[in-house]
Amino acid sequence: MDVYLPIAEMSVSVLLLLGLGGGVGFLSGLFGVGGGFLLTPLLIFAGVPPAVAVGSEANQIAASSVSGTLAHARRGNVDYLMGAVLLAGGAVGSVAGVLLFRELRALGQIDAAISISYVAFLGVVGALMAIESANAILRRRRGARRRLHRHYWVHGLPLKMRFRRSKLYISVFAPFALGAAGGMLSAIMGVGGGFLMVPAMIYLLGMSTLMAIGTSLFQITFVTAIVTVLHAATNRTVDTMLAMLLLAGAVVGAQFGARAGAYLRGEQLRGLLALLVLGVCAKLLIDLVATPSELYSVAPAP
Amino acid sequence: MRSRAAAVCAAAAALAAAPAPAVEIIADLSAHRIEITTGFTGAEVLLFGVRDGGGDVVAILRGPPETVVVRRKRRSFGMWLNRRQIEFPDAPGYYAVATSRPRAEIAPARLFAQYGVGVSNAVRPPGAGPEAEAFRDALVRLKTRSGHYRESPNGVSFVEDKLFRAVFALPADAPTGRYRAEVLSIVDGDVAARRVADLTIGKTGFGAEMYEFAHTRPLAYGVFAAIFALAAGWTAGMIFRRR
Repeated sequence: MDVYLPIAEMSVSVLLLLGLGGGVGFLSGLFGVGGGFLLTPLLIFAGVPPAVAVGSEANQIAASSVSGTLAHARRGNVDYLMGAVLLAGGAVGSVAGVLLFRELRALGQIDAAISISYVAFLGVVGALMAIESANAILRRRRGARRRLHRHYWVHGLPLKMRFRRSKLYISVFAPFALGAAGGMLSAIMGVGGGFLMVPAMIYLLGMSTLMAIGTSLFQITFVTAIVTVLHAATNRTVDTMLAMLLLAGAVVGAQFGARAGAYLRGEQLRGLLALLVLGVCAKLLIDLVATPSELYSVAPAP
Repeated sequence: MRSRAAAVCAAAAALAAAPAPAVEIIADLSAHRIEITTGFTGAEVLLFGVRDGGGDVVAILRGPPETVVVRRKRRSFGMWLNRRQIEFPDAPGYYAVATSRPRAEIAPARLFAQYGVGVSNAVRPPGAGPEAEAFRDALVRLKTRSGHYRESPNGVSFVEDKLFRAVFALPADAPTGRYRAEVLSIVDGDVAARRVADLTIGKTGFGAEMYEFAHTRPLAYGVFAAIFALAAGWTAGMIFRRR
């Protein structure tokens, strides 16, 4: 059964969209990752115009991160002050990202820019995950020790602020800049940016893991909502129909993923996810480098 | 299909009523307003008419002009990137031509160039030179592949050598707006008679409404999309929390 996506202006199998959403939702339930960094490239492989894939993915992530945010908020894992600073940065970053997106689109370079960004990020993330899961298997034999909080130069910048829930007294510039980087990624790549934000909040800002996850979810929900509005207003690339079909698959998939996670071993699974990420990265890279069958393309004038 | 039969009957009646020697060709469309259902069906429009006194018939349906950009990829930095683009300020958004015989048998190419008959005559390159020609050819090739441009060398069929008909297929993503159908009667390599009829294409259905909303009030649509997503996500979260 096919469905017509009104903004992408194409017909696509409903089962394919539910399957993609479900499969990536399963992985996100299993690993606690957002999944945007997999869904956007998969949509591009399915023939969705890259710009529409990005805008609609941001919309889908806004929806799928709500329940996680609420769950963490109930358990007190959201530092709202930190979230507000990150969000302020995210708003600035996403405006800059959407404007850059519009310029690249007018130049006819947006599809390539999206692919190149993904190749770079998936390559780095996949490699880090592969190394990390290999190390984790080795580390089990040794006692690991790590200091609670290291002090970097970014924390010493002016305008220090006390973040009570995170037990931090640091410059607002650090979380603001981090939020801006996340917003920029969200606008250009159609991701939540959790894969960048969470490690940075833990290792750079010095937050606890749970607080970092809860607060980043809070920030991602609102930043992707802002990105949705900005993309719809400037680029007209948000397909609500596409986003909601993916969401339907993803919420169901995430339930199974979360349950499956209880029975499966972590390191090997993370290794598999790393392989998947590297596989998607390789496919994008091949599409960029291989000689295309049609060199020309036509688009409405910007 | 029923409306088409009725239309042909109407044409026959018109033939009977028309003063035969004065009018050499009359033609009309099966509808003057068409609502395309967004989805994967598109629509068809029938052009029909009566030609008196022999000769060939050329039927053209032109959509509203659009400004499009054609881009060409080149290998740079090891990747295939769009490196050159040419803007076509008034390429037809839809163009279909149907003829009673292949064009070369009807009249010299010069006549068709003069009347803008044929896809490559309808889409003019924006400049001189082989590059502009190459981009024009690419535009025609891509638009033909997507069903927006079409040439049917035997697309005009005759009934009893007087009544003629041609069917134009409109893809689901055909542009909306005013279309013009033009019918030429060609005798001895020159245009003997000409008729035009207008057509308005609209779109209908949920998809068309969403497209309309997203394109006419983009900010409101964005706010709606964001709030709808948050509400849908919250609802989904509630459903699975209770279980």
